[in-house]
Amino acid sequence: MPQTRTFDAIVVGSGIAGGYAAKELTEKGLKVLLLERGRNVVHGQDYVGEHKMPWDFKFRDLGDRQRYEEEHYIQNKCYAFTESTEHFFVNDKDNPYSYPEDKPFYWLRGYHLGGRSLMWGRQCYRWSDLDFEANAKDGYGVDWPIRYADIAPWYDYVERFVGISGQAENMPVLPDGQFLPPMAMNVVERHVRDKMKDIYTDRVHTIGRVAVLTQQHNGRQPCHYCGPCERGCSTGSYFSTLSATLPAALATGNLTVATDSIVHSVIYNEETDRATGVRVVDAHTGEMIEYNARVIFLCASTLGTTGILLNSTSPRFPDGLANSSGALGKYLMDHLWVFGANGEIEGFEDKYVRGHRPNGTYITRFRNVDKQDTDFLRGYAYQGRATRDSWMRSLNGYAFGTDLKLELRNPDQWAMRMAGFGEMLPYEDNRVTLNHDKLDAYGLPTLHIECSFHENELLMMDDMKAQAIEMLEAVGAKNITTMGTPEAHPPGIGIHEMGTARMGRDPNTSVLNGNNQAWDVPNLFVTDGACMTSSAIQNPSITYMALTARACDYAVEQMRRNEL
Amino acid sequence: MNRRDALKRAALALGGVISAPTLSAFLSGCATDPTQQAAAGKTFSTAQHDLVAAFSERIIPTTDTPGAIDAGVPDFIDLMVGEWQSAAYKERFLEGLEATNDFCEAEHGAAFAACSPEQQDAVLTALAAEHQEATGRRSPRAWFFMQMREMTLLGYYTSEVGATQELRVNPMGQWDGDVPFADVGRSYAL
Repeated sequence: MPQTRTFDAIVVGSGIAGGYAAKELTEKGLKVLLLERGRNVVHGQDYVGEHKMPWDFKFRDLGDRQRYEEEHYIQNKCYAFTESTEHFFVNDKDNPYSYPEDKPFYWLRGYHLGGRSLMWGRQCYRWSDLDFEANAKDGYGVDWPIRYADIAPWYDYVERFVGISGQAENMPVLPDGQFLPPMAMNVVERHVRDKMKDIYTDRVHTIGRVAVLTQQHNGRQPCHYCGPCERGCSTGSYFSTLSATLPAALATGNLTVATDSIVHSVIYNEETDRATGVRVVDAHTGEMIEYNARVIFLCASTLGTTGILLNSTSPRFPDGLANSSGALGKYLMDHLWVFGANGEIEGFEDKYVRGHRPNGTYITRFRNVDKQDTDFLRGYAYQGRATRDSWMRSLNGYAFGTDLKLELRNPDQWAMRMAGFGEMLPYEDNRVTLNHDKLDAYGLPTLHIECSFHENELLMMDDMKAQAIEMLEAVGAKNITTMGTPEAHPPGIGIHEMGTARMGRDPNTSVLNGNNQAWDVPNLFVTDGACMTSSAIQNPSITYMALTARACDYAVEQMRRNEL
Repeated sequence: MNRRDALKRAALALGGVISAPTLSAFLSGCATDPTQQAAAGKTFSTAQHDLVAAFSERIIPTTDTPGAIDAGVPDFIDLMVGEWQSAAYKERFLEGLEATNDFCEAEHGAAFAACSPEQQDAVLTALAAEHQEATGRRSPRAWFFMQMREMTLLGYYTSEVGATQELRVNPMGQWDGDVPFADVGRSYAL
């Protein structure tokens, strides 16, 4: 525990948003306390799964199924959760939450320094005005208080630091950014891209835009193509708090980091109408400690942040801090994920790859762009890749012996996968509340999450599959199969949970203003996914980073003017 | 599909079947010598281990590269059945194992491990056909064949021997998305 209890700023949470806030605020000269509820992780040294082979693990990287059923029954649903990464995911038994039996919500998370920036998917796509204007156009949710022009310079700013490899495509639905050289498509992805270019004018198939370096960048090394980034990267080739923002913040000499520090609530002073600090529970001793600061940034993840606000009650805010609107906890969203199709591509049997590219490809949104052309609102995009399966293709067969062994020396046919990310509308009844009847190990109320897809999402899922089939057929794919069901892919599984403390133009219907500043408490900022007013279809982290940098700039300017 | 997706899919394939049959009379009535137990893996008796080893070797035999036994597959299966799968699975697995041995005794007059490779292959062929043609509930030995087949493939190709001597490990260091397959020569195990 730090000896000092008073800082200029407190940042709660050390994930992608909190790390960025710590960097920005310390670089602007503020003395900052960064609070992390989980354990310390040392960059490099604690990436214990990195570069290991299946035979290095007791269960060949499948993990201990019996223990997972006891302790990781939710986290085990994450694609990135394996024996080589399990230490970056919470123990579900020790970190309970609840949902109605008929409305599962998979809350996938890691409590440690760096948070999910260690295991994130690294895909970075800018929003466009199609996204920022969507709520205003169709009336679902409140209008965003910002437009693309407000955030574009901040996308530029963070992208230059983060390092994003990608290909400029000049597509209005997916603005180009500050790109490092793109990773190459493989031979079949190029074939699909070229075929699509002949057939479609309203979409492009491009290489993924990814926060993995293709050249040296700000002292970090280019990717060495080992593959599973989520195990951690000792060369810092993908962006994380530990590889990038934390070293930058520490270099200023202005940062204090406190791990194992669980924020209980934000302290509010009714007389000054300001937040004065936070109450923290020491994860080891259970001791309650108070830290004070002039400005508070909540970056504890969408549900973590809103949980803290809901638990910060006072006579003025009996239903949660900064909740005079009543919107806090409501309008929870995730992306519709994986709905799409997979098909075999013939003609490239003599081709293969070398190296593990930690990135896929992207097909830009084409639904409901210039006009409403479906029976559902909003749209989706696909992420995918072309691969050749190996021995796993034979797991369900009957063959055995020398013939099988020889057959499996050859890889399978090439297959192209198109897995959709679709937009979920903001609904008032998709919400998180506190359950005071079930407390966690630290005596804090647990979260009750009620979130389900509605009719618009179910219609969209069908179209995501149908359009993937159509595209695959158009480029000549064979043996096409579809992916995704609402039962197997409920909200949460996209790991893009957002909303619950939304930005808006009206203090009566939103929690935050256009600068991520709480309407009710001017020195309180929320810049993680909780701030999102709609979900769009882009992987959200780069937008959280841009909003965070923008809000930090605003906050420090206001502090200089003594207006916080 | 990448490495982790593939392994997760494999895990899913293996987790598919749960049942709770009673232990066969053979198991309850036939205690194993403790010294023999120690000589084998942690889960199987020596006799059970011998069957699993011989069976896995017929699925992935030794050719110009090592087979299942040299890749440590029998010990891997011992671990999976003993520690990874459920107690119900273990019970069913051992039931299928003994049923396979009984079938082998009836067809060839010897325990599976004592049969010739040709006789063993005939047993595998019969069990595969039984699984493929089954209607209703599959027999323990047909189910045993599929489980052995899956775990042998998984254990072999995720072993160092299977991934480096039989197949290849896709190397790190560079990315090239357009390489003649002839330059690699074999499928990547991972």
